[in-house]
Amino acid sequence: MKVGEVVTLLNSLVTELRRGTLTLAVLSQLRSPQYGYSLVQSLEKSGISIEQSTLYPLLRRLEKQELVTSSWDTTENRPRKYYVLSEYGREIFEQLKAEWEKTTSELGSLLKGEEERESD
Amino acid sequence: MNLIETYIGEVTRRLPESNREDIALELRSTIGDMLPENPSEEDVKSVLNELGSPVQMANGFRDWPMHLIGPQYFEHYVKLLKIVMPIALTVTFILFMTANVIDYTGTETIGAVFFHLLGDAISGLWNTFIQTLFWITLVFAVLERTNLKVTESCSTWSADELLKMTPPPKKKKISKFELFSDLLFAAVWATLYYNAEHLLGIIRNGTLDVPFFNNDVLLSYWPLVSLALLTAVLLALYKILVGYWTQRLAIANAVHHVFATAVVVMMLLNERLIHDDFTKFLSLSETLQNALLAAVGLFFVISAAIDIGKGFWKAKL
Repeated sequence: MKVGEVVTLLNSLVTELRRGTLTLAVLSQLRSPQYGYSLVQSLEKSGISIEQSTLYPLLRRLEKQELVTSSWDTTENRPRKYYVLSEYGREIFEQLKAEWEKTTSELGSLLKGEEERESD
Repeated sequence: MNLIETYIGEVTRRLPESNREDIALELRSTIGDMLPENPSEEDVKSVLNELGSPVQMANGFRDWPMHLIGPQYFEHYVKLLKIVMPIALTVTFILFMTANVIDYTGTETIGAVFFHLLGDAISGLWNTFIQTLFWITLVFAVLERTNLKVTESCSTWSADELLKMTPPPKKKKISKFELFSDLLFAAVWATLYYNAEHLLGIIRNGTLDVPFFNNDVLLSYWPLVSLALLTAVLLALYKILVGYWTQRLAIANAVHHVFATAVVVMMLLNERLIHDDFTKFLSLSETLQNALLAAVGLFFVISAAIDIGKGFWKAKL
């Protein structure tokens, strides 16, 4: 395999790996109301970069699934659409978070076992 | 600022009317947030670059499937095409051959007839191919976009289902031959009915001399006849999808036959159906002619009854 192919394969695998975590990342930031760009910034501060063409559709989908609610704030000089977790969204987020923690600890011990076997 | 509005326009024109305004507002506010104060054109460009291609942005917003036929139906789609296409092409071929033999007046040389036939057959087969492909694809594309659950969902599958999947007895199976003859019959009936003027009658010297039917009376039944033909085709498709006789299929079969036979009987009962020329040609007494018609009607009723009975019998096996 050529170097270029390895890089694109790796990229697509990484994208795939991250795709599912984006929902969780976005939900985690929506305990208090956020508008689109503030959400991008707070995610980036934690090192998570998200394509804007992914974020806005994702927010819409979450709203359709009734996990978040949105409202337009027109008091400032620029109207902004704020998103916040709904009651149902809060519940789902907690469960999703627990699921994530379980997965990471399982995967952690799995990968650790792999390392130990390698060093033998 | 013009660049921004063009960008938003490029995104929203790809979206359904109902969300356009809201999405445009949100994009405009986001772009505003991302820009510094008194932005230069370069600033605007870099922000738009960060947002990425408007096509991709619009695709994200769409909740309409971006494929014609998804994995849920693709298997059925291919299966149906594989069975229907050869049958449709064969039926077309047979109809063309028959029509050309009937039309043959003996004035052309064999070579000319052959090439004529070849040309007709190729264009006819091509036409059938495209039509079949189009209609089947259309049906599945519509199915994909409705939430109809035609197939049992795969998500609730359990190994227990394998136990239920004892292969149906051979006798219950619907043979390719049966499907073929069903569709061939439908095609033949359709051809005869819509071309009765040229085909049904006593042909002398290559022209139809004594027509059997009053064409306008015959054709006045076209909505019912077309419906009967449609149910015949739908029934055949249903047979293909199920693959063997079930109680439901037998009921559908019965409904189709009762309807189609009722249409035929209704036509036969119309006093003006038979052309006067044909009555004269036969020169039978009125009672005898009526008895003949009744016999034809009875033939239809009996063969329908046999087929209905066969359906239920096979379903019970």
